[in-house]
Amino acid sequence: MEEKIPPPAWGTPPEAAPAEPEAAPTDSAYTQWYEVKKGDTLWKIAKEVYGDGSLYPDIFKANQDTLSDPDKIQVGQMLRIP
Amino acid sequence: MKLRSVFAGFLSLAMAAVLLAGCANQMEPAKKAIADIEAAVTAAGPDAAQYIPDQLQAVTSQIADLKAKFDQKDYKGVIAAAPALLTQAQGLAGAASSAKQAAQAAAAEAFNAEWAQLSADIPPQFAAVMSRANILARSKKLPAGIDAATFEGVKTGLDEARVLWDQAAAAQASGNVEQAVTNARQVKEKLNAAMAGLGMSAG
Repeated sequence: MEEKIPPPAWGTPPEAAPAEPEAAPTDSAYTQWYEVKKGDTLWKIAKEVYGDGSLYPDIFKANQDTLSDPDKIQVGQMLRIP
Repeated sequence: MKLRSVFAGFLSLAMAAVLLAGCANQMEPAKKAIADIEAAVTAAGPDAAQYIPDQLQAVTSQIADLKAKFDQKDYKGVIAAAPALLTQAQGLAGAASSAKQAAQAAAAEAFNAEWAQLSADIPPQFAAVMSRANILARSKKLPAGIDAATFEGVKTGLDEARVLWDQAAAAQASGNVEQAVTNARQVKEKLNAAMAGLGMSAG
């Protein structure tokens, strides 16, 4: 059976973050990546790619396998942009 | 002397009559031989034209030769050549059927291979685009390069793609791989368009 595509949930807020860290997300050829530049913050990146810095938790959540603190990102680090 | 001349004339006429009768005797069998061959070609049906056009052309060309012989009253020649051509014509139906089966098997194999590739490729692409679209739908302001109309178009395209993907999966489950591939190709086009609209890089 083919993978069922979930129905669109336009604008539905993400579920509350689970208490335990999630397993590393499965990357694919379509995973979007962003290389951290000097002076970047997750807020700034979210502002650039989503138009709204307050959506930075989505980026943090997608990178919890490599980020433990949203304020600690490294220049050159590759971040998933969901 | 006169009697001999009359007799010679009578003999000539008689011989001509015998020859004509001989020809007339062969005309009907020749005509029937050509009709039998044409019937065998007709029985091969349109499949022969589609799957074994060269073999069909070879037979029809030889039928034309036979008809030319017939028109020249070479009935003997027609009757002599007809059996081999009839065998050839009768073989067309079987050859067309075999060629059709082979072509259909090859097409099915190609569809199966394409489905395997699309069904592995589409779900992660769908997930990536849906994820981005869902986040953008919560954004207070769309990012540079994406206007509201573009975003609405992307959402509509994704809704359509989801319906098509469900149809593709249903078609595949019912064994109609060709339909599944047709739907999946449309899904792929819509996903590619959505990715482009959202400024996402292709995989």
